Amino acid sequence: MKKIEINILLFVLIEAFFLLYGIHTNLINILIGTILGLILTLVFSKLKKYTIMKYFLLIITIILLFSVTIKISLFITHNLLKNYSVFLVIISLLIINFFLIKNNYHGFIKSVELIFYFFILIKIISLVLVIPNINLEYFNINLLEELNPNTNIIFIALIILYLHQSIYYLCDYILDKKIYIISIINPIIMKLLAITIIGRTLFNLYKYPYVNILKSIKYLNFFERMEGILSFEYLFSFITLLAFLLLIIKSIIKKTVNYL
Amino acid sequence: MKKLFLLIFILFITGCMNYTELNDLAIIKSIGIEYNHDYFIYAEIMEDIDKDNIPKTKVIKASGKNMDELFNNIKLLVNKEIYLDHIDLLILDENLNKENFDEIIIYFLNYQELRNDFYTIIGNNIENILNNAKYDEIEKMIINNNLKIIKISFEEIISKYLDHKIFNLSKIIYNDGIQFDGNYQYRNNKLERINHEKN
Repeated sequence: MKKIEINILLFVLIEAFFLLYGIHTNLINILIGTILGLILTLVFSKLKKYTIMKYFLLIITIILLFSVTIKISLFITHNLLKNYSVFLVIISLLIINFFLIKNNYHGFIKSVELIFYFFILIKIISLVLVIPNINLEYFNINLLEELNPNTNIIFIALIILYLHQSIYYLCDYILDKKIYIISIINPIIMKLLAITIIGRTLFNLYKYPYVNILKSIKYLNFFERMEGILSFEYLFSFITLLAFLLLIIKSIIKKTVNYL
Repeated sequence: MKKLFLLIFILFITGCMNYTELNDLAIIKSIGIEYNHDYFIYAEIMEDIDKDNIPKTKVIKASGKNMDELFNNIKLLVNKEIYLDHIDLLILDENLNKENFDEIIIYFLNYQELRNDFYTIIGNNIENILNNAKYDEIEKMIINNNLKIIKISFEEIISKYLDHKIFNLSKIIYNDGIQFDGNYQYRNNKLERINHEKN
């Protein structure tokens, strides 16, 4: 596998985890958590050859799969398919992802790379349309509260460790520090941008503040009500994460069965 | 076989479960909320277009002990699904107190389909204002820079109210026509008139 493909996958997965679990966490938690995650990754990289790590990974992946599937379905029914059955969304998501990972992981990672360029285009369009709504008044209010660390640091570090261990399990991979730093800076910039648009209080109140920011796009009575299309960037990262989790489970079970 | 299964699956799961006919929707254009021992709401609902291509609206009045009951009562009165995604204007009564504000804000924040980017003003005798205003007359007054009406959206009001409980907004009255009655500041849980220079 090419280095760029794996690093794109890592970037998308970190964004997906952040959007699902880390939206309301403080900026200092993200910074310290990711540094700690990097240290843990370097330490644990020597342990991948032990079988117990494989089963530990399987258990965590199954737990994450349940949680991620439900969270993604709730995101879709809350923002895109309103008043729709969550159960049907879960089934549709799982079936689509089973087909995505049907073959080996090479095809999946290549697809992620191709869609990523479209994803970047949508991200740039969203940024361009959203930046004029920045209100610098909000930049000063309660920003010091972002510097209060708490136990989320450990959660973030463990997620980073889990991602790296899973990718190491799939294929040989060398950590690219530049991409790693960009994938950490991305959530920090997103959060700062969101706070300067809607304020910290509203940001903490909304369940999906990044979609609420997209609702603020309104120009010339034409560029408005675009949050459905522009939230595709989030949907793409979520589906990639779900497919990745299924892929890890499939790989572990397949290798265990072959071994037996 | 797998492709056939996938094709059938895609055809039948196309998201039509929550489809509602346009005729079954009560599209609300403006809302006015008052409180006098109970909540009163005046909702300007879009009807159809007349011969001169000007949209016709009608104003419905409902009351309730809380916001949920209020909107449920409107739904029962018009016998349609309430559609709040196209609200352009919210008129709040000048006599609303802190508890009323809190309840209105909580309701509008939790309402999934609402955008909160509509203009907000205060007024008294809201029923007269909405019954006698022409289509888009109040919105055009707000956009008119000569009148120095404060253009503030409900989302900005929520943000300022939650941060430091102070925000400015304008007042309109009905006196042989819709008139602008000055700018006010909500501070210390009450409205105080402010001068134009302090906007």
